[in-house]
Amino acid sequence: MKVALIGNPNSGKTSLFNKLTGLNQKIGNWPGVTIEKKEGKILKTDIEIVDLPGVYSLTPYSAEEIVSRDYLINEKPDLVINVVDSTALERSLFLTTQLLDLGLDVVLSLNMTDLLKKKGISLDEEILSKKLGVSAIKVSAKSGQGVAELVKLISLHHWKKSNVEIYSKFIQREIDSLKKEENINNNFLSLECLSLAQTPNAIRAKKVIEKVFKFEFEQLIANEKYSFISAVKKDCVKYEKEQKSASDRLDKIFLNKYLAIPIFVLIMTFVYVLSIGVVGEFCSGFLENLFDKFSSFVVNFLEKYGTKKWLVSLLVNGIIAGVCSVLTFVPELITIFLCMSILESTGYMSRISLMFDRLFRKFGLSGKSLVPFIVGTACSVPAISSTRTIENNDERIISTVLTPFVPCSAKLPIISLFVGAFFPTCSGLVTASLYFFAIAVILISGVILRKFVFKNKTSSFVLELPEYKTPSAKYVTRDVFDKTKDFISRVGTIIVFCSILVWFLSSFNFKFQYINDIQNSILAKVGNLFAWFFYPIIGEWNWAVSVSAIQGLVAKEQVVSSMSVIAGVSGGKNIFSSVIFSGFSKISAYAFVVFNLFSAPCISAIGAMKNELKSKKKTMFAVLFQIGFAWIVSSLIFLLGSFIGGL
Amino acid sequence: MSNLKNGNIAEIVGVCCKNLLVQKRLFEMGVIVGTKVQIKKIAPLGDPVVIGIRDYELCLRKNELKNIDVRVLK
Repeated sequence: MKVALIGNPNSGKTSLFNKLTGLNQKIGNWPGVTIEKKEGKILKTDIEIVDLPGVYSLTPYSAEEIVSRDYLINEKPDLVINVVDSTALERSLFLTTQLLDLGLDVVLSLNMTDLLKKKGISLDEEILSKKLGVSAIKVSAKSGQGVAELVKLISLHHWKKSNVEIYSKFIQREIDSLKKEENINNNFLSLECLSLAQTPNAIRAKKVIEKVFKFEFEQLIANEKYSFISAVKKDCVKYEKEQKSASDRLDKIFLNKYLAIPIFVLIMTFVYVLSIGVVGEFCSGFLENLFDKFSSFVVNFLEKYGTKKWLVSLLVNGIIAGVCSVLTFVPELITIFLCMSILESTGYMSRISLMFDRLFRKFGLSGKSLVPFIVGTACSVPAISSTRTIENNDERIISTVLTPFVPCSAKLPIISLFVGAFFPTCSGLVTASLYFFAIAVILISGVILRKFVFKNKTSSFVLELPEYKTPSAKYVTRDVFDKTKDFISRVGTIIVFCSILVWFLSSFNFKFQYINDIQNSILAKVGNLFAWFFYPIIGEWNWAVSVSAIQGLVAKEQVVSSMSVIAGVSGGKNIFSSVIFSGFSKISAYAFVVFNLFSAPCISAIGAMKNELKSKKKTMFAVLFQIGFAWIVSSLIFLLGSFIGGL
Repeated sequence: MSNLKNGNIAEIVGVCCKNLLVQKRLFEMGVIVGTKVQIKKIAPLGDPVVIGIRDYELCLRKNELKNIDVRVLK
């Protein structure tokens, strides 16, 4: 048996899916967390269940909404669990009427009834069930209330089949006659046919309806549905006492005319000062020391047993140096992941969209673009996919191209290494400055893209504002754990592999002889081919910096790893004591970090971009745009910085 | 509706957008003739506006609000 899970965005579908299947899909408190359908099996049964992206209606507006519509029409699931946000019952039931139009079997899973109770509103699910002719159960994925009942109902096939009449007699008659004429078997497609009015029959029927009701067709159908829904709601919902919602009180502060933006800046600065400044300072130094001791221990140990010199070098200067240099940043990453995860689940994200929509619109973007940008502070890949919630095509493409400009967690090691070494007294603030610099760069490139590539300018902003929620400790821990695990497992695979490769290329010459002078290595020869490109950014001809930066294409943290392998130390500030990397100044360090932040993202992010842009040419264009932009900006920083510094 | 002030309550008397898709979305979100709405919050930069409608909150730009005709109740 196949069951589909559908509901409005942010109605708690994925929480229910996780509860039913025992899986752990990503949830969050903003619309559009689920963008692709996900499949699983209900625990202890053979029932297949599909989690569809959240939609307000089956009319497709954005890419992720088409997924839901097509699935329901083409795959015809045996049952649809319609997750209903009880606090917004009318809006939720709109989708329900469409599911009933499609002739699907529907079970209502009434979510957020606890919130409803807090607001002093009571909902009688039995009356609701009777009025709609479908089964309705109060479910809470958090406490598990109603879940067993729901599973039982599904596995025993005990749900009701609805034959409720939604539309007034006249309209239903027109719908039915069109069904016969066009050989359609459900109300939904018949209505769609009327709405599109492409066949003579549909045109005629639409004209008749509009003439009789003196209303434009779309509005008429919406009116019919909502008056049906209002009647249902009137019978099953009782307002006991009016209460001011906590969200309204919080928004008085967080959306305050004067305080909102300072508070946002403060929150973001706090996140970076805490993670890079406080946690970074404290843990990274400690870990660097620890890894240093560990690597000298390994050297001593191996030499005692007379291990070959090249093997010692491979293990210590290759693998240990490469891996440890990146691992020292794990505490900082955990802190950032933690802060972002908390922010995501409170509902603050939608407020940020709202806050900056007007500003972003001036730059050719919309407030909705901010969500991928903020998700992108962890990783560009899911962030790029989340651009799918943006309805306007041009805006979506621009957001996809610009999302990699956001400093993701893999870029953090680069930032933290350079900032820690060259700006030790104000590392948190410099990092925050880079973050705001990124926002500025995004806005400027938004303008550039709008001006030269995407000239269409109409867009809209229709967004539901969710209520604030207390983040669930369980979810936050799980989310942080998953992201950290991802990062560490990448270190264990890609970084180890690349470190060995870099070590090999830097220890051998073209005749494959083990050499002592790194200047004669294969890596140095290759790096020299590209060194001209980086000359304007760092102000010196340096092959080692060039090859390291290029490796950022594999994974951004590999830049740091490669530098420490070439320097032959296990990461940290010691990298800059080595001859080869001693040429950096404050200015060239800042410029180099900026280049790494804004140049082409890693291969996985480029892949995600290609997925969204659906064209090789556009992806190539995006990558070249990013590299070119990064090069110009960082060269300018170096040029201006040196000029001002020289005064 | 774009002329309403924070806290105003009104009843929708007409919806007419140039962009038909946006119009359809508004209908589907419950923004239809006869519905009561309230201006609940205004973004710090003055736009978009959060309206309370059918027990939930919806953010709309003033551009869209211009296309919604209302009768002020309070």
